[in-house]
Amino acid sequence: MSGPSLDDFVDMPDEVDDETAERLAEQAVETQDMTGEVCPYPQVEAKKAIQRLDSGDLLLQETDHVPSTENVPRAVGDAVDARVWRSGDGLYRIFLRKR
Amino acid sequence: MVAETPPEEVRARLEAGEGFDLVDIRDADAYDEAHIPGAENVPLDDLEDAVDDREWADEVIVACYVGESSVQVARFLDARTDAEVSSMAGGYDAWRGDLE
Repeated sequence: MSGPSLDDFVDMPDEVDDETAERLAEQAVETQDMTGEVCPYPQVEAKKAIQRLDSGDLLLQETDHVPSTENVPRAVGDAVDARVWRSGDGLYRIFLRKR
Repeated sequence: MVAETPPEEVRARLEAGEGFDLVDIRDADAYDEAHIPGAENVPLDDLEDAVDDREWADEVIVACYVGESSVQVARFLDARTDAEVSSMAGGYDAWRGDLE
């Protein structure tokens, strides 16, 4: 494959390093395994979860669908602070902290 | 920024027989179940391999479930091909035409 990959055209939130990702994963009050799922299901489930959570709570969504790293944070909008971790081999963790 | 094409315009242009690639990036099961007549299935996961291996029309319109992943794919194809690429706004969720 020559040229940029699809990852490069996804407008992801700020990325975190491995250590930060591990620490954030331990803080998550809810983890959603969205591997194998495609839009719009992850967006819908993230919005529902964020409504249930309290301010300051952290939702973690795991996915292998790279567009979700842009579409899920955009779907929950200003209700959260979003950050992403990428494994480098196709797995992503989306961290959504409820404001 | 890539453009978004309203589904009504896609429908009118298909009915008028205009030449463009309508690329359906949903997974094969969804495509086999029902798809827009004339749409070609290139599942998202196959795109990076397919992009250099095929000819693209002068214009490509990308369609997905709700018109969000198709925006990212349109950005990708816009950069990786010489085609004029847009995303079908609202995706299949907004499609009111025939399916086959």
